[in-house]
Amino acid sequence: MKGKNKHIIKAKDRVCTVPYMGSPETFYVMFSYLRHNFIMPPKPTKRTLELGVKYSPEFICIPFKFILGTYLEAIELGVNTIITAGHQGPCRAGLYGIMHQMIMRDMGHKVDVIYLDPPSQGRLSLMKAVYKAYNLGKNSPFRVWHAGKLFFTLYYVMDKMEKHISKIRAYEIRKGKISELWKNAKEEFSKITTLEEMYDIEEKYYKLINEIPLKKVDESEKIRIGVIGEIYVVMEQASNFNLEERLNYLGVEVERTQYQSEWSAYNLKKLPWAQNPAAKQRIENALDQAEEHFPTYIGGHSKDNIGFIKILKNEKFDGIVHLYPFGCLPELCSISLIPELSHKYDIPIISLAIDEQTAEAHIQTRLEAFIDLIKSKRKYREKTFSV
Amino acid sequence: MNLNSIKENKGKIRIGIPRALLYFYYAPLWETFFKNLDVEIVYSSKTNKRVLDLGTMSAVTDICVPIKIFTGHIIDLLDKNVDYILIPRMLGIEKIKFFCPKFMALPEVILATVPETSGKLLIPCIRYKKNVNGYIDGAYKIGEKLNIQKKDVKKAIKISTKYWETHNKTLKNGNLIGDILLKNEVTPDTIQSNPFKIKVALLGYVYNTYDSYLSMSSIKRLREKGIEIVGFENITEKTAYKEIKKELPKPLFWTFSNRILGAGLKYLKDDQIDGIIHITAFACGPDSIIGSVMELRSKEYEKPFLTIRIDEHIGQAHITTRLEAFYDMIYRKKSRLKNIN
Repeated sequence: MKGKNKHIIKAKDRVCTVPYMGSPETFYVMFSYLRHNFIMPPKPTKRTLELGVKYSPEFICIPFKFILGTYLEAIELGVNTIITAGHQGPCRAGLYGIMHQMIMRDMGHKVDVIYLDPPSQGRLSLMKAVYKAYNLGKNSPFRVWHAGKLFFTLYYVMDKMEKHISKIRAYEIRKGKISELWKNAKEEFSKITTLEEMYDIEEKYYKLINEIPLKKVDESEKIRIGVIGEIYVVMEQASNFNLEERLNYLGVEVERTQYQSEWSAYNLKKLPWAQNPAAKQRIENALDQAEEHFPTYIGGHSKDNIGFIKILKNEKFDGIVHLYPFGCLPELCSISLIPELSHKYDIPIISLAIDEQTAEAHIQTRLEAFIDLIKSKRKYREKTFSV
Repeated sequence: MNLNSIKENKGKIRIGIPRALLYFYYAPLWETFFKNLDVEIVYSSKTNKRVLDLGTMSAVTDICVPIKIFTGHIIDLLDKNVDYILIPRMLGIEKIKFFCPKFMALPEVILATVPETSGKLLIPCIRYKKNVNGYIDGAYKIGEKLNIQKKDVKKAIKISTKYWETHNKTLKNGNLIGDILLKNEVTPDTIQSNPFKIKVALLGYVYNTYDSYLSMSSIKRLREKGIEIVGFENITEKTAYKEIKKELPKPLFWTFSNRILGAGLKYLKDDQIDGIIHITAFACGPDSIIGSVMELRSKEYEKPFLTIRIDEHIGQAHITTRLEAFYDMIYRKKSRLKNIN
């Protein structure tokens, strides 16, 4: 990297972090194992968003603002190096790294943003970025291998647990206990250095979770909602007002279509510990299903979101929540198609735009109305067809 | 497609071309191509309130105003009884660069929001191909769909490509696209005499700058004051990318955004340019990046930089007052410098 955008932090001085999205505990485990001086990014709060909004371009998508806010709070904790994924476009996410570094340096902070672009954006720059990000100067190939194994296996285990939680939390009698257990589990997971430790924690928490008393609900009464949309606002609960917990507390099971471990299995097909054939196949199906309505890849997840509508309908989901940042370029195209597809496949879909002006009450009332609609639709069906 | 319409028009197929989005950039190419195919070209009405309202009602609420206007133009064309409507799928005209995602999925977006267009869309896929002009494939596909002989299509491609090259040479000599395409909209009736030589760069996508309804004839107004206007089209692609390379580790993903950003960075450093105006649509994705880079860099070069944001609610008074204020600022700056000397 030349000129103004050159990296300025020496390797020995690096204090690293990553953007907060979903479960950064996995990154903490991997990068600590790789002997980086790594600090956990702080979980986004209202203050994070305010900071991010203050220093971001007004019409940039909200993940940019949340992430910038996270970086600025991490800088307060001593961070000077950011490690993040890049992208090849056409959505804006692939330019986040460059823009974040420019803005933070303009504010006077001495920071480096190391972004890992796909090879199409330049093999040499990717190799240099990988060298820095994975601290190859200080780690043997064996150690790097093991770090990767820890990372992907942990993500798989955590995603599995999160899926389980987003199901049974719908039936929790005393609200709050399951979420607390999940929070504690994440904290314990962040401290592992071996797979054995990880499996012990997994066993411990499944036991604790399964001891929580649940309401008994008949299979035919259960309601399942799928969540599709732009990956950051779908995965990061701090950006979507804890949507999954919220829906669970309205009595419905939730499953989203974006899980880090599943996308890794799809994108990094050759990696041995990222293997998840079922997830990979499901994503491939989604892209196939999208072909007739949306033949072009335009970035983000707009194409597979369209495909997942049909898949979720086939898997007997009762409704879909579609989340997108205000102004998200690929998702603006998906929402043009969604009303027609909702009608064609006969599945209720609600599209919710997220930006810094979105209010909690707004989301809550819309979700309540949506769930009411689904419940009454079901009752109507049962009445009509039970004669 | 009904045979009756063909009979009425004495055999000529009616191709509708919306006067929106990349029409302003590619009109010389498309027009020449279709004229030489012996089809009847039908243009949509120039953007007016009716077109804007029609588009706003059908398009998704959050989408940018250029797409809303495009949607309105499509509906307007349907009213004009066309056989086909041209909506090129702009995937890319350069290596590993794209267009705004909305352009890439535009046919699907229109099919979904204006379902009556089903079966009527001509969708040539414009995709970058090494050593081959990306639009030629699309041109042959159009010929196929319209049942036109391949040799006639080849001839039309040859003539239109030649005309396109001549057109681009004219732009390099300092003309604006508007000077060639829309003479009346950009040429002032009277020009004030001005004690100072003022030159301003007006940067924006063609569909914002040259849509008279959106930009409210900004070029005309500035020229009336005796100001010389330059645009992104007067900076070559090569120069634009060279400028971007100095500022960013990699260029942006979108062809025209790079043209505009590169031109902006070049003009920032040009002593002959007294100010830069960026016309941009409310909530434009790519422009949020351009605007940010320009703002960060214009501080360094101390060049007046004005952003005019347009949407469906824009009023003439708003744009006029902002242009006047900008002009006043430049005028006062020049007066001060003259007095000092």
